[in-house]
Amino acid sequence: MLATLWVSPLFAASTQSVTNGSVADSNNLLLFVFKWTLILVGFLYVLFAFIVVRQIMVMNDTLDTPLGKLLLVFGYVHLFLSILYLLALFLLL
Amino acid sequence: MNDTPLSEQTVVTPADPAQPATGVQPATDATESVGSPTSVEQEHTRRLRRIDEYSQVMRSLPPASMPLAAFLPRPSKTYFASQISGEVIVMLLRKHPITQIPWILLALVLAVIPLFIDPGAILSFLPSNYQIAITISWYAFLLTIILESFLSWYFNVYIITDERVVDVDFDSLIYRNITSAKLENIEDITAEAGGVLQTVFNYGTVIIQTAGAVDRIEFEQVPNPNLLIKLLNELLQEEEQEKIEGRVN
Repeated sequence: MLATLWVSPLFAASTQSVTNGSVADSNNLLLFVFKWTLILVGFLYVLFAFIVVRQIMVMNDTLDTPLGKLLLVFGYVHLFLSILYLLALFLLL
Repeated sequence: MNDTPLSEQTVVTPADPAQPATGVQPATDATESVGSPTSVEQEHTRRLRRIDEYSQVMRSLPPASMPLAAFLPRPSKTYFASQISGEVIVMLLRKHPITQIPWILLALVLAVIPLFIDPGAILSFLPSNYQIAITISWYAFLLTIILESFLSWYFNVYIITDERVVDVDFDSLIYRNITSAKLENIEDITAEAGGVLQTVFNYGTVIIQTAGAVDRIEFEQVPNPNLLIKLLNELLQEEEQEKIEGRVN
């Protein structure tokens, strides 16, 4: 709700531009910025997932437990899902 | 005082002279050794008493069976980085599970929000493909919270061995701190438990004052703090007894 209140006026203002061309340009610009911000977030998420895998390895070296290998598997699954997420962003946006 | 003959105190598999010594993996029980113990380690094991022989607390607790528990007496297949050969992990502790309720509740709320509030209604100013991307991003963020919180709880442990107390801290995913203190350097042990939750669920903070470089080790929000104090006192008494009897390592 709050997001709608503060973001939608930007779009509303853009639709009140004088010419139709500038309306489309400002909409496209906002969507362009939005798209590449999300993709940047996707890249950072993959980087984070890789760090998580690395850190699970360090944690397992520090403390070897019966669930250590299972957690490492979860870490790799998470990394795989993060790559899928990034691909999904490229496909959707 | 235990007058059990040395030959009856431990059960150790003798080293096979035909096999070259490849080093000994840390053991979780003073009565078992993996691999071929050297003669020094055999002597060390023969000198020490089993934890059950001098600790009433450990006699009353069954070995841990649930790896996700916060209170793990004699955990199996568990080793830590600086564990020396022959050192026995007596207790492995984590923060009481009740302390993890806040992030669990947060995760549940974040998970069900998109089910009750239509993302399309809030994000109507965006094309539908952007709405889907944002919804997926929402759950990716949720997974991040769950994973980091769980790993932080699982690997931040407090360890009591028959030789020292160890505090393993992972303050964040990229910062690790391991603090240990020998039992003989412990000067004072205090338990703090305040508030309704800590009283009802029997958890609190055990503060260990030591004489070493680190003057204080805290086992924060661990289960059964009074039982831990009793256990530590028994271990300290055994350390004193070992010194008196000349059974030190």
